[in-house]
Amino acid sequence: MKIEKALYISPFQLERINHLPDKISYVYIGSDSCEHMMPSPSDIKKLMEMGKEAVVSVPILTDFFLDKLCSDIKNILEFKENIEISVNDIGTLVKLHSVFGSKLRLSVGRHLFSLWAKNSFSYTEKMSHDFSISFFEIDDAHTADSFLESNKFNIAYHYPFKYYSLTRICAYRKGIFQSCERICHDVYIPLDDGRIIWRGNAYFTKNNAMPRLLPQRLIISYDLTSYGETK
Amino acid sequence: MKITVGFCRIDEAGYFLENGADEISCGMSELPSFCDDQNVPDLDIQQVKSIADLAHSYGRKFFMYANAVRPDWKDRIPFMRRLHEDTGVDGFIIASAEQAEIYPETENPPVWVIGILGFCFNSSAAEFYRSRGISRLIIPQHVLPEESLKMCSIFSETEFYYITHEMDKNIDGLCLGCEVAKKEKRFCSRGFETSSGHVTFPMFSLDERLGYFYRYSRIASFVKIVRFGSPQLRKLIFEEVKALKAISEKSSTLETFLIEAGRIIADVFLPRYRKLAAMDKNLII
Repeated sequence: MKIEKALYISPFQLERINHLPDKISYVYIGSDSCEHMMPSPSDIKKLMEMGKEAVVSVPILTDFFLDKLCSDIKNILEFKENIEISVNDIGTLVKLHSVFGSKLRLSVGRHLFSLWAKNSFSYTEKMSHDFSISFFEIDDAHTADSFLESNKFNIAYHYPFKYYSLTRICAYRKGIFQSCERICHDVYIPLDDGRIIWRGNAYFTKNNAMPRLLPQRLIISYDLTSYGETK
Repeated sequence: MKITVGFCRIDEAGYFLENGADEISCGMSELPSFCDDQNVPDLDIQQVKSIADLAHSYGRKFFMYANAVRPDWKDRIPFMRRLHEDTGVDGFIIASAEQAEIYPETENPPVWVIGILGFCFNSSAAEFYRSRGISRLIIPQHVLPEESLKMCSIFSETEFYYITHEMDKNIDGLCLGCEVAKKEKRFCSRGFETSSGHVTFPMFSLDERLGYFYRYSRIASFVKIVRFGSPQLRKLIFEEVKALKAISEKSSTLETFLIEAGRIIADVFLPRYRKLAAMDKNLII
């Protein structure tokens, strides 16, 4: 089986990138932690011009940002059919499924999956069917193996970083806001001698484990590491 | 706005009811919940019935926590049904729609309350949960009052957290910090040394937390006091919430509320918290 290779990058990084390696087919663009880092339609266009398949990664969304996402998706669908959206809360999943139906491919991001994975297996299977889920994103090798063993789900595995903690309270502005000038520049800061990586609303640790079974897709955390290291 | 109080010891149920709680809730070991074991009272079925009877004698409701997300909830449903039908527990605080979906159809179903692990952050999620028979929402702490308006209009009842003294700096259910650290200091309570100096996890200021209380007191049906801390601390927080509720009800603007609330916290409650903190080093003020 051939693994699809993907990079996870932020809109900030995309501004500085004009070329990506041929072996990378998919690019996750956006953020699964910050509402203000959602990609714009022009980001998707740029990736298409680079010959890459974009996956729009969105965090847990409140109504204001969910409405904004729907509006952006309408614009994107005008030039890109059947785009994949990785969602991280049940409301976003339900809304995108009901508004756009089969015009989109929907994947379950790692935050939403962390909740689903703790339900019964049959419930996850039912939800997967009801919402025609393309991929389940996981960053824990043990959990990934338990789902891969079932052979019923497509798994996208995050490597080499995994989530440790998440907040909605911006560390730079000390609050929750509906608009943002992105003053953080999406930089990341190592804490605890590098044991924890802090970026914006999220905290990560090194993910040294790979699943025993091959996932269908590997997502490399380019947003958290230098290009040289991931190459 | 009413007050719903989580209790951790059986003798607290009567105290809170007698002193004006509009509703009480607790966990029990047979129903896994999202809480430290020490905050779950050791109850048997007969004791649960006594608490339910007591609450009903005050005209109040009694809820039980069942909000640990686990794959084996199906096995616990008969026990939940017994609690509801035989002991009079009014409803359950749950973490997943699956729990309500697999409960057998009945003429008198329990009240289902979706807790913070349901990640209900928008009105679309609210519609999803309501369509599964869930009638009440516990609003996640990181949703601002203005962001919750559409969600709140979908449920018949909503609860917001009392966060003036204890707030989750990270999103509940999405922080491995406490889980991994185990006996270490809570991850979110820590600070870190960086090249730019000492950094700590961001949190709302006291004024913002009081503003959160005031604004939600005009939107949500209940203010929620969580199962947390020592019995003395829980009683003190309960008194403080009652005092702030009274101030909120007579305040016509946020500014007047903040002045009076700030004064009563500084003059009356902070000295008492400090006294407690001197006895309990784990207390966060």
